Amino acid sequence: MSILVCDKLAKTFGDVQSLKDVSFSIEGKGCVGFLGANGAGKTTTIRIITGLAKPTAGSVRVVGYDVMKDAIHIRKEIGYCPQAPAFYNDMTAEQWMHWVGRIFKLGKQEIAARTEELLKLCGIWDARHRAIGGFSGGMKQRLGIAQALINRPKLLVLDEPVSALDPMGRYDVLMLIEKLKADMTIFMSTHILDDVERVADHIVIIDKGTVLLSQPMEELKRGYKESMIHLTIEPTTGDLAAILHKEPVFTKVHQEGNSFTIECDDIGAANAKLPQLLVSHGIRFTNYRVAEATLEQIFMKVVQS
Amino acid sequence: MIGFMPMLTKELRELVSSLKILYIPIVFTLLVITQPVTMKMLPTLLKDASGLPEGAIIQIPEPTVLEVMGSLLPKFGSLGCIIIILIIMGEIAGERASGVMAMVFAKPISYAGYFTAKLLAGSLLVVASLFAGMIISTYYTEIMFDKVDWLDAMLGTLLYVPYVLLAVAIALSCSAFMKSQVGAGGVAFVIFLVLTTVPQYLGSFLRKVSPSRLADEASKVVMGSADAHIVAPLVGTLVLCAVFIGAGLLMLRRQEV
Repeated sequence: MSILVCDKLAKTFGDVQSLKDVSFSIEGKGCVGFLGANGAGKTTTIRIITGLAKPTAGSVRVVGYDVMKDAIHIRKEIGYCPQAPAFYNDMTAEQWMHWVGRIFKLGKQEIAARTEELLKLCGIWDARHRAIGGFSGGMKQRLGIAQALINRPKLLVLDEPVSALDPMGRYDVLMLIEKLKADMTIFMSTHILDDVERVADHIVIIDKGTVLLSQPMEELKRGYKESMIHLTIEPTTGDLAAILHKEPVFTKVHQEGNSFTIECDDIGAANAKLPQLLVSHGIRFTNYRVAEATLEQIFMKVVQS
Repeated sequence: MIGFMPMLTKELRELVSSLKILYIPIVFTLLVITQPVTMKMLPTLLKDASGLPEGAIIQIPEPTVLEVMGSLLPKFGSLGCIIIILIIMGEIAGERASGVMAMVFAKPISYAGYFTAKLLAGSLLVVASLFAGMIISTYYTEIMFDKVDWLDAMLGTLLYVPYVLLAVAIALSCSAFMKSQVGAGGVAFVIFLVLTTVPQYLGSFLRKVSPSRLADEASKVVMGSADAHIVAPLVGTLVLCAVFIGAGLLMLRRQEV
């Protein structure tokens, strides 16, 4: 069964069409990176998935239920932490966790145990008796994630979960996601691509309200992998860039000193041709590597195409 | 009504932590208690403040205990209801603006559970404060004037409850509909003002069932009057309360979180 299915979602605010065609499907456990530039439609999509906003057209199914018809049922199965989580500021972190536990109808002992477990896991156990109003942005983010986990959700939705965190906090949260994704599906929106690259198993890219790509990370990287060669040569009098430009098998050549990044359409032909050229021109190389495209490069390629 | 009990306990806890449970009854008491004190002290105040020539005599008959009792609820009137609107106007609009509402509605809480919990907590606060104000003021009236019929006083106050609940229902509905707290308060005040003043100019039926008539009749009951006609305005006010509660729920559902 698919955990999350978005089918032709559209959303209009007045004259502005925020979402045009959001369609993708997520199956199984793991972490899904939901990528897009600011204003691409990430938060609007997430608000529709969590039932906080209604789509103008299209449908969303979460753990098999329609979000428009079975919102309450879906909310029992998901955990959600928005970009800037807000709380009742007069409550302490512990009181908030207990309150959320009661909403999910957990028993007293379970609430106490889950509160301790999650506040420790998110690194705010020591601040459990402090009023949330006095928390920093990072602490609120951690509490937001902790409370989203209290019901052991099947789908954890995190909207920009590391945006308010310092480098240590970011590292902690990413490690937490890495740990949690074995037990649930984590749908995480962000525009910090390095973070996604570390933890995501599946990538969904959205731009201007339209999903451009939805693919498992491995498949995505494989698809973009063998189209680039990184080459570093020994200092030479020959002009390698000029030589490469003459060959149609190489589509683009970027040079930085003695280092070259060579793009091609047919990696087999390029791999056959390049060593020949180097030998015939007497150019020695110190590094020859078929490059793996970074997520940032893939993202830029997908969005710009 | 899913999530009603956790929401209600949270609302009641908040009444205590914000000290509303303490200062709202004090404000309501101060509002009402000034009436018997003023009526008792009026001859003295006039004598001291009028600057009349020596020998001039002011004769003001001391008001009867029934007159004093009959003036307590009207003293609460518009000012009391403005205070109620000020207390309630941010209940939903404020949570929407701060983002807490998104955290709440991402959990299994129904709109009905959320709205009724806020309605009940707000109503409890207002009704308890009204009774506190009336009980203390009635006690002072008895000390300063004469023996009071407590049963009539409390029955009249009870009949006045739908009038204050109408203010709560209007303010909460506006809070569900508007994005700004101040806007919600302003619209609620205008609606309340229209509903309590306009019907008396719109024919005998609407005059009979209007909330302001209920307030008048409740005062009569406090004074022990036998000819109070309470049923029609009571039904009219309760119907208005139901209409605003229904409208508030509907608007909460329609508005995005």
